[in-house]
Amino acid sequence: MSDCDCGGGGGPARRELSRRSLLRGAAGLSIIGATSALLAACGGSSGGTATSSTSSGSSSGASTSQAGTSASPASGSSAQGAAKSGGTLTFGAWQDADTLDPHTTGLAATSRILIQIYDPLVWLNPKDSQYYPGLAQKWEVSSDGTQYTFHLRNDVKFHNGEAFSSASVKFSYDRIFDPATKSLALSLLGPYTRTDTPDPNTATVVFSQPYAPFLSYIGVILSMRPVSAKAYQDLGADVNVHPIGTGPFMYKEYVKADHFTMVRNPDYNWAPSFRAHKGQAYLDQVVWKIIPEPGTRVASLQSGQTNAIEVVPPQNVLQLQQQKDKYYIQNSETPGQPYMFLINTQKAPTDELAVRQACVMATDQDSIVKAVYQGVYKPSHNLMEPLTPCYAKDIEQYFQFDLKKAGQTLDSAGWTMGSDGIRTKNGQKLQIVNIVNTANDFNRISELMQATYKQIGIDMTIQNESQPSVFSTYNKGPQNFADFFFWDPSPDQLRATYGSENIATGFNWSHFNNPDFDKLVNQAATETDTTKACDLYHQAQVILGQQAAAIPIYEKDATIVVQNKIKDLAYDPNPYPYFFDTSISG
Amino acid sequence: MLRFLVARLISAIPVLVGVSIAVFLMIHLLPGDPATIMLQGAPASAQDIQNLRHQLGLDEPLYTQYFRWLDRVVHGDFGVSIHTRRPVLTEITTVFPSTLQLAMAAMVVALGMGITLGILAALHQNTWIDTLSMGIALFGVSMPDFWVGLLLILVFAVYFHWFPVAGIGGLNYLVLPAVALGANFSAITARLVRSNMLEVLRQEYVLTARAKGLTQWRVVVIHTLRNALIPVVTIVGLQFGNLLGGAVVIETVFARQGLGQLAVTAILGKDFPLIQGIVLVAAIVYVFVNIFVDLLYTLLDPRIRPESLA
Amino acid sequence: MITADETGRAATQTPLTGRAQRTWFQETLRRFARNRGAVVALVILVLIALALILARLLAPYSPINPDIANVAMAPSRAHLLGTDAIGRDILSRILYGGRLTVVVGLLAIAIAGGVGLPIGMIAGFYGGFTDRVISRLMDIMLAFPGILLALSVVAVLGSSVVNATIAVGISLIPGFVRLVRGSYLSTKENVYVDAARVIGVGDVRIMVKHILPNVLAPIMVLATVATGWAIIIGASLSFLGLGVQAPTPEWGTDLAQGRQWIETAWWMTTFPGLAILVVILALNLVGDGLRDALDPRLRNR
Repeated sequence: MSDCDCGGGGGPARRELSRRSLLRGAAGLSIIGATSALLAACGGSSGGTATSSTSSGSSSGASTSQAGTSASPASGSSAQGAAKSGGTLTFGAWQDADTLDPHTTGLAATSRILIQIYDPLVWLNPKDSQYYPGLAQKWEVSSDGTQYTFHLRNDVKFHNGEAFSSASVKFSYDRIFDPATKSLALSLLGPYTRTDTPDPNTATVVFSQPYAPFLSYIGVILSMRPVSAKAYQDLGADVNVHPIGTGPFMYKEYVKADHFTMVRNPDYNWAPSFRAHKGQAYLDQVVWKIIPEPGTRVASLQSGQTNAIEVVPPQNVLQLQQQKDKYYIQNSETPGQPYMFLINTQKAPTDELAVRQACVMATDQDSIVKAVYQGVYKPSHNLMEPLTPCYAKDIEQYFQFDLKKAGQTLDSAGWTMGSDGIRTKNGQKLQIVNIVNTANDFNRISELMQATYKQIGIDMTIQNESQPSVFSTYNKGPQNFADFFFWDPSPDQLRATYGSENIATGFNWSHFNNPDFDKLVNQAATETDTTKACDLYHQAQVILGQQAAAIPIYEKDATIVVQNKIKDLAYDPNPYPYFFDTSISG
Repeated sequence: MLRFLVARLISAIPVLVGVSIAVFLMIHLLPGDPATIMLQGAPASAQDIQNLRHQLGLDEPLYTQYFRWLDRVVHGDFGVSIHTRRPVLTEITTVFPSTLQLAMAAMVVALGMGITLGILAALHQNTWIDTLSMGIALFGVSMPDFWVGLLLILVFAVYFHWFPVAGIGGLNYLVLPAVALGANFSAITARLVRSNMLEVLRQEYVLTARAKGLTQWRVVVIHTLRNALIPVVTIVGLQFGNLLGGAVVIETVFARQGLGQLAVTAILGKDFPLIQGIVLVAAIVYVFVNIFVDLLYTLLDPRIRPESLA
Repeated sequence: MITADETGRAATQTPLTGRAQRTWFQETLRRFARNRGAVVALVILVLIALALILARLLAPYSPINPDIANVAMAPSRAHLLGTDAIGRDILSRILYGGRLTVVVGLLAIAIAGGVGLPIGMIAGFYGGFTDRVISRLMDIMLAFPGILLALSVVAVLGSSVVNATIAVGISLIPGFVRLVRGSYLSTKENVYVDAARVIGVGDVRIMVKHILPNVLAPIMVLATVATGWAIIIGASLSFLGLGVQAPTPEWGTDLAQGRQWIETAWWMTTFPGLAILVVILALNLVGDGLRDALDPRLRNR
């Protein structure tokens, strides 16, 4: 599993990955065996090799749609040699950071900022899903899989002048490992024992047992990027508001709930080889402007106050893509689980299979998504998105709209239609509670479902609750429906979402407790043969489909709208914008 | 004057005590265990709840808990936000200046617009100017302020590009939110000024002054305005509370950091320690602003002896 | 809008008795009728009330059934005011939605008045220590900004129409107490009160039977205007996501939910917003008319 975003939301709304929840969900990671080798083959990636990829195929689709007719600012096109240095880019973000300490953050919103400030030991390239040297020039894994040795660059400095060395690596991992830090990344270190530093340029991370996913976490997760030990001594509690890393941009100013300003790091010369250029970043400065209200964020782009915005309401995407002379739209398809409702399998009346099946069959994804997102997003009938390793198209058979059959299913299960249009059984009304995360845009989808459900005698109540408290609510389980999505390049996410160990604190908001399923996903996580692993995951998905544990709605995309003069705003392995190659023309 | 100030401060003590009791009881009046309620928005373990229960001293009588809590509050310890894990007081003091700035600016807008409209209307009573001014004022009270804010953004930021849309910064960042927030109060002010002006204009001494041939402008300024404005001052203090409340919506619309935005985050996220802190701070600020306004009032109106107010 | 200060003035009236009352009433009515703005506003309010009551007959479509073939349609002959984000007819939603908006406003005022009136009476009538205690209590309540108070109540008790109404009502209590208290303070010294006391009428009877009719006017004026405030606070709660539950139509909720479309589909915000605006505008005009009609000084002129 890697970075996830759960609970995020709909069209206009959030594709937010709550890192916090993600990590809670990752609690059981130590079970995972050789996941990384496995995934490449599963995913059908074109370029990935079995030795190096976690997220095969992931984000191969950072694509530019609707580029301007002239001067198309195609993403991913290398910097045309004409990229100009200088200028300030203002980015309209939808959420503030929780803390700026990469070890304790719980939000993807924070990761979006801090990936510009911190570098990983090893990069995962979104384009070819290969690992590339970062702060480590080379690395090797011991034959028993318990020791990772990193040979570090010797020319890297932190923004505060401290030299980057093996001591920095040791400090970083020891700090995450220290329970007093309360790091949400703790579980990602798995069976961590210690970090050895035989010399300043060599760091060996030692685990008590084989730990295969480590490299993939290093490649993707912000918290695993080295921090400056000196900063933690100098700043004290201010580390929460003053990040110091080795990245292409440096902290300049942070005003809570308003903006985070970063400036170019003049010393930066250690960009990975897959970037379009070497040396420093082009931009002088990036202002990360926090504008949570969607309409205001769109207005900020139109008024020129921001150069690019994220999480754009679909109706505005349609409006802005008409203006090809001004803006282009960047989409990035991502691996993971689509936007969906997780059905609580332990709360009446959805503890009954027939009710869950009826809910699934009474959901008309195609019409709903067409109405709500007007073609900007695609409906989903699957538990995973196409770019995810072990994606299986035949799972779609379990998630097809059939209102008549839904009614029949309820009839034969003994739910009889009452005079008020609501079915009853044993004196119990067929009423379900849908708790909607206000950070998402699930309200309209829910209302459309509510209307259809009513036709077959299901009375659905919609309640709103905001994050992060809604996550705790989902774990406690007063809801029948929880809205959900997940960004993750590994099929092991199925365990995070439906594994019984993740009911109390993880993402198992379905409260799904199925020993057969648990057995399959646990076995799959240690299976080194990718074909066999995918077969196990397939069996697991069949169980989920038969048990009607979720209702997929639509495939999430990361969408940002960018002014034409901004060139090469690329996505990182996480579907987050990365500003190193970005420049301003004209 | 000093005696008045002291008397006024003393009279505020019972109010402050009452406010603190109300804020303290917020959690305790709810059915259920206060510690569980306070942590309901967080992924808290049984141990966390137990720790908080111990910290709150829930097994002790309510009044002991209150004094214990009050003691902490007086010493600046408002507890820790359950989501950001930072001290509540730090969270509040970080954003409070921008809310104060916004409230002041809104006050300036409201008084400036309101007094102008009110004077215009009174001087041209029963003409189209009167009708227009009061019409504008009526619109000011009849539109939800978030709608006013969105329309202002659309017109003055998106179409005309005159002002920035969102955030905090220089004076130009303040204009639109201040207008949106002050619209309601300016309408109230306009109507109050108009009726006061009309009343004063009818009084003997104004008629006399006019008869003596002074220009109307001087009549207005010297004789009327001052007397007409005194009642306005009395509602400034009351309205300040409404401005703080209105900031909840306006700061959300304009993506401004501030107490209002913090309150929304805290309330929607069920961050009870933070909610308590914000409500307490807002109430305390309100009480002191009103003391200040009362002082101002006595300065403006020599007819009122300070003692009579206290 | 009318402040307590302004309305308080209308409090000092001559005592009312049988025949005099009728003429006073007629006089007031006559004066009110002369105020064209207020009369028009009253007519509008009555028409709106009728439309809301007859919503079932007037509404061309269901206010809650989505129509995904007609999402975000501009006003047309089929949908006079257009459709919303999931294809519901906005005219129908306004007709049905106004019921809840208005009922919430009225109920909130009923709560504020129901609690505020007796408390204010007692404070103003008895004065002294009782008055001081009550006034301090009201100072404490006033110290909590209305929306913040309403938000806290809804956050704590859960988001529902009932909770929102109670919250809005509570936040309006101090205004009523202050006004009633002031009216009673100035009225209780009147001759007829003394007279009643001399012939041995009890306090409660004096407060309710003798004084109340004389101070009802400013209270009515405040109630008119405060209904508008209640509607606006309710709309603000909706804006913050704490309004009524879907799919119930309600003006404030519809206005708040349409805000993402303010540029791409103006009708989604404009019409619910106008509905709110017209009602509050009319309430204020009627309040103005009432105040002018009841103000004895204007009468003497």
